[in-house]
Amino acid sequence: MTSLDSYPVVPSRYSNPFSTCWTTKLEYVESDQSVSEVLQEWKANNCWGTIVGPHGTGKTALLSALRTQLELEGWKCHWIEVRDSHLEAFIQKVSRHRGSKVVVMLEGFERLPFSKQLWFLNRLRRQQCHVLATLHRNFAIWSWRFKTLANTEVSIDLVKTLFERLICNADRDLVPWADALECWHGCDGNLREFWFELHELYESRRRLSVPLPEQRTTRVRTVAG
Amino acid sequence: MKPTPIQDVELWIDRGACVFAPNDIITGQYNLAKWLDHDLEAVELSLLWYTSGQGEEDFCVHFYDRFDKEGLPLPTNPIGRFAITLPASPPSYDGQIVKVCWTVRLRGFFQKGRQRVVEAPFTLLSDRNPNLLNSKEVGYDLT
Repeated sequence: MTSLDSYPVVPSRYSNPFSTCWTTKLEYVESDQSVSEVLQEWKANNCWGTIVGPHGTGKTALLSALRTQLELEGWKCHWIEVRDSHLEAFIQKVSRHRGSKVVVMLEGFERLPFSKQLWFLNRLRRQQCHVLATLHRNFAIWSWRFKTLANTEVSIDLVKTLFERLICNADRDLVPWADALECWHGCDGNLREFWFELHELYESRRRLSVPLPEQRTTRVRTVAG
Repeated sequence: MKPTPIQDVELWIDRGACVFAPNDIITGQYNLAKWLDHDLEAVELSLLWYTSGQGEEDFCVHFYDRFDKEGLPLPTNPIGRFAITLPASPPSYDGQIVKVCWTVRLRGFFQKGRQRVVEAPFTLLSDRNPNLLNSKEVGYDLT
């Protein structure tokens, strides 16, 4: 073993505030509709509904916030990441999750082809499952049956709020808000893409500003569980 | 009422070492005094690697131990020790898009589901580049 002085960097997730492990832990920020309003609408629609929005606009974050609230209310939530290749196993799995206070949460439901989405929803309906799913667009003629509960979109205010939450414990000089804003304008409203861009920007600048060995003293890192 | 904040405990690797060769023994200590003041129910000590960066992440636990209430150190002697033989791989990697990170992790479980985590990260060198251990010209990429 050797000391820190002869080695430049100990790789760690704490060196970049835009690592996926941090961006996916951001709490959902309520905008037009609160989580409880979305839930109210879902219940009024016989516990069926979708969250609709383009890539990286917070569908999964909202679904996750709904899950937290439902679990507080005593619901049992089955979170399923939909993959076309696992559809058969998935159907068998879903059929086991029925009950008065049981909800199937379909994350990434938009990844299925449209025809399979419809077929699958009909099957869930027959099995009397309660469902919350994410989609890229609503079901148009089917919308009466599978209601859109929320349309996710990302405002500049929301971007700034989330950016501040991530950068607050890091070196904000490496990526000032003005640079982040410029990145955002190139990401076409896709928050996930935005975090990737910032991760890369922060990382490249951090590498140029790695402190001299004698300045590096932090060896024990701490996070809240 | 807001719960009392739980302070972090100390976790350290002996002699401040943070670079290890494959199959080295990593030793260190932790002081649980600040956690024992709260309603500490259990402590987990693990040694693991994880990937960090953009996209999906992976991890693997190399060593794990758990101490429930009966096995916790007493407040009069809150120091615990560990000595773990490291594996040969995967080596640490500080890439721009993805990193492979090694760490010793101490997780405290408290009443009402509260948890605290303290980590001591370190570097595991590649056995393909054993000379890196004493080199002053180490770059970021180890492979």
